[in-house]
Amino acid sequence: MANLLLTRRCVRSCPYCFASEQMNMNDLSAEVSWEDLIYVTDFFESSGEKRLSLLGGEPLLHKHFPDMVLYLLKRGFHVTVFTSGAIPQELTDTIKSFLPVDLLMPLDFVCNLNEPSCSPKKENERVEYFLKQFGPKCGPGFNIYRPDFDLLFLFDLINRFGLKRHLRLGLAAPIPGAVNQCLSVSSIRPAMQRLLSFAADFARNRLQMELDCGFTLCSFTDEELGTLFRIATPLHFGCGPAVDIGPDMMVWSCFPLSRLAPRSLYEFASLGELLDHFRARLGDLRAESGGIHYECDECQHREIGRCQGGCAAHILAAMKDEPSIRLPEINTCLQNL
Amino acid sequence: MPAEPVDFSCRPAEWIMRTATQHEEIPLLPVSGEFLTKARILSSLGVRVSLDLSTGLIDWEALSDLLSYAVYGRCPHAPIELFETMIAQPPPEQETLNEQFVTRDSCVNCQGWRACFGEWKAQCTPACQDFFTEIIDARLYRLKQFGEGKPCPH
Repeated sequence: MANLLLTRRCVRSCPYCFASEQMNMNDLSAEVSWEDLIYVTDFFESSGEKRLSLLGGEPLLHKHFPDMVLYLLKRGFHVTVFTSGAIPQELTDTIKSFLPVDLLMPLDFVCNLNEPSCSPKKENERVEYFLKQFGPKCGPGFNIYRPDFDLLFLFDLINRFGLKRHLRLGLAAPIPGAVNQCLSVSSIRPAMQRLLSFAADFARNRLQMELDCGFTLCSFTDEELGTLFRIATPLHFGCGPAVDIGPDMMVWSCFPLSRLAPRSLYEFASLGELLDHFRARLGDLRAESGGIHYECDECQHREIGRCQGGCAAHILAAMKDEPSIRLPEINTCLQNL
Repeated sequence: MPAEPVDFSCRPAEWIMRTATQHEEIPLLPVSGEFLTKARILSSLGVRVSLDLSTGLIDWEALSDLLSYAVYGRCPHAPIELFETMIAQPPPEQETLNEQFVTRDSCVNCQGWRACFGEWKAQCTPACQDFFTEIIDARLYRLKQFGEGKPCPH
């Protein structure tokens, strides 16, 4: 499933934001137009894909957000909206007046939640108000960007607002050539140990976790993998391409790799062709370096595709200060960092 | 039961669901910018739309863009009337063409004349010429795709 960025404007400034390259480098006022939304919808439909994720910035800030969601629903799409929920209460009310909470409606929110102790009070109030209105349609999301994170607040929000019992966990990825707070390669293992320390809470709260891209198999012991088997959705230690489409119809593999061979959506005839392009570019990158550890090159799990060797942004970031010895497209990307 | 009239001055969320459920055809819309966008939304939702060239200031470039969608759009959508009539119009007879060739008026060098027939001579601009040239291209495309006299199957 690909993602469409409705707007680059955002209401938060998360320290780990791996979209900041895209959020800072372009015109913030740029928003997806109706003409482009219809083009993207036709592009997906003619490619046989009827699911679309809406992203930002904060997609709820797009002036036609509820209108565009209704349009996509009318076209028979399943829509997933990735939001912070930290929008003004009046805006939440307006959106709810057009998109009432109907469990049968093929519309879901993934609400990316930050630890309340690290966020301004007003932001926390806004998030709670949003969750109060849309709780049953919201699945929580959380980005791990330091090894000493806390998840207890999530269990509280899930129970208080009746959120879906499915937590999407992401690893904050580095932005090659820029600075953001992310989980370094050496701190992934301690972070995973921390994650498993919440296993009993997951089981007690009947909460399933879903590991997003970038996790590696070797970050867990066999015993921990057994525990994950019980509390996580089927495990897949993969890495992209996610495919993000910007408001200007530029396409890239994912936010942290937005400088690696970006193209215009208009250059592709189908979603399959587009995915092939980015799979090939990631393949090039992994041909240069198998994964985030030296051992990845000869890892049997990587050879059979059980693990892809972690986040490609870590690989690209590690190549940044090297001499230009890589494949031409990778060298071009590295020179632009 | 007759469909309720549609108020297009309100935000799209208020008419998208209702319109696409209750209406098969929307009466004439003017051709100013926002209505062209609305026409595209409705057409993509399967509602037949008619455009009225006689009202409002015509944005020829936006109209050409909509024409491209109507003719070459990759997914099934409802026809946008005005374009359909223009495309279906038979090209001028050879005699008329010869006559036009020797006439010394402003249309003599206009490529779009074979679709406009001088009707828009008073406000002719390069963008207007481009639009009518695209109508001719669309006519040829339809002819190639579906054969003479057959409407677009969408």
